[in-house]
Amino acid sequence: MTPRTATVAAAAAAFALGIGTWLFLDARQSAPLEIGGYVLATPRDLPAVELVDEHGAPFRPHDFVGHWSFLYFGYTYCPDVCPLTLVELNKVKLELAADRFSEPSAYYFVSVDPKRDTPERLREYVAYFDPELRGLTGSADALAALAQAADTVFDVPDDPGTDNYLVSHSSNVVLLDPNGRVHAVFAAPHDPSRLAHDFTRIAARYNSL
Amino acid sequence: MFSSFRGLVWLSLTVGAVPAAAAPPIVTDAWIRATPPGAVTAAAYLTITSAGAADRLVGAATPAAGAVEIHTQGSDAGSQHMTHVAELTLPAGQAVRLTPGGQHLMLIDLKGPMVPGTRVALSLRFAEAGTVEVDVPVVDARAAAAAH
Repeated sequence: MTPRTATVAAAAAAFALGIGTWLFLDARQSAPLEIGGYVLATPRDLPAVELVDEHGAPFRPHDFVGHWSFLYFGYTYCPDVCPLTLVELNKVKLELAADRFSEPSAYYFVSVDPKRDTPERLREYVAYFDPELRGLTGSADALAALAQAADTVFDVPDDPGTDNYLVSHSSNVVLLDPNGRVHAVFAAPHDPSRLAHDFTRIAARYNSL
Repeated sequence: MFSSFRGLVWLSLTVGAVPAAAAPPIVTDAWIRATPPGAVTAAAYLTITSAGAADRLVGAATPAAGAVEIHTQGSDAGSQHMTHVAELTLPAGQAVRLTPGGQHLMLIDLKGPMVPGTRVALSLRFAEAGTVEVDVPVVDARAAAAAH
C-alpha cells in the first residue's frame, strides 16, 4: 500500500466511522465520495475569529459565505511546498474555468507566520501567483483556532533567534462550502486535475442535497 | 523525456580540494524555482547519480545566496516538516531525485531575486568525488509560464 493510498484508506475509514450511524438513518444519502483526501461527515463551522486580508482590512470567516473557498495554510518564506501548492491551486482554477464550472470560487493563502508576513508582504506574494488569490493572516490565537477547525496543523518556533526560521505546516488544501463550513480536505501531493475533478463531484453532491 | 526546463544541465567539472578518485556524480534536471517579489529563500531541484561508487552530498554553495542547506521534506500526520540534514546519501548507480514537494536544496539569504531565464552557479560538495560545479537555470514554474 503506497503512502497515498494508505492516507486515502485511513481517511475513508475515519469517514465511515463518523458517518455510519447517520447513513443508517438517512437511506437517501449515497456512499461517501472517494476523493484524494476526505469529505467531512458533517460540514464544520469555523470559529468567528478576526483575520486580516492582504490589504490590511478585517476579514471574518463569515466572509467565506456565498462561494466555494479553497484554503492553503503556509508562509511566504517557504521556498518549496508553498509555491508548489499555490501553482497547483492556480492550475485547479484554470482547469475549472476550462471545464466551464460556473459556481463562484475563491482561493486563499493563509499565512501562519504573521510576524514576517505582514499584509504588505502578503499582497505582493499572492499577486505573483494569481491576481485573484487572496491573502489572509491574523494573530497566533486566531490562526490556531482557524487551523484547528480546518484539520490543519502548523508549528511556528517561539523564539527562533533568527529571521530565517522554518515553519512546519500541513500541506492540505481545505475546501469550504458556500455556507462557509469546512467541507473537505484534499491531501498532498496535489494533482490539479484530480483535485478539480473531486471538487466538481463534491459540488454536484452538495447541490443535489 | 526532457522539456526545456527539465533539460540536461551544463556540467563543468572542476578538480576539488579532495582528489577525485572515482568518476564524479552526474547531475541532471537541475533548476531553481523563480522567486516571488521580496523572497529571501529559494529552492533548487536536481537529480544526482553517483555513477561509480556510493558517495554523499555533504554541502552546497552559490554566490547567489548566503547559504545553501540540504532539506528533506517529511510528512507526519499531514504536516510538512522541512528538515535541514547534514548530508544526502547517494547509493552507487542510483538516481537520487530532489523534486518539488520533496527533498531540495534551500537557498537562504538570497542576494537578489531568482529571475527566470538566468542561470545560477551552484557548487556541490561530495565526500568522495570533491566539488562539482553546476550551472542551474532559473525557471518560472507557474501555470501561465508553462503554457507558453
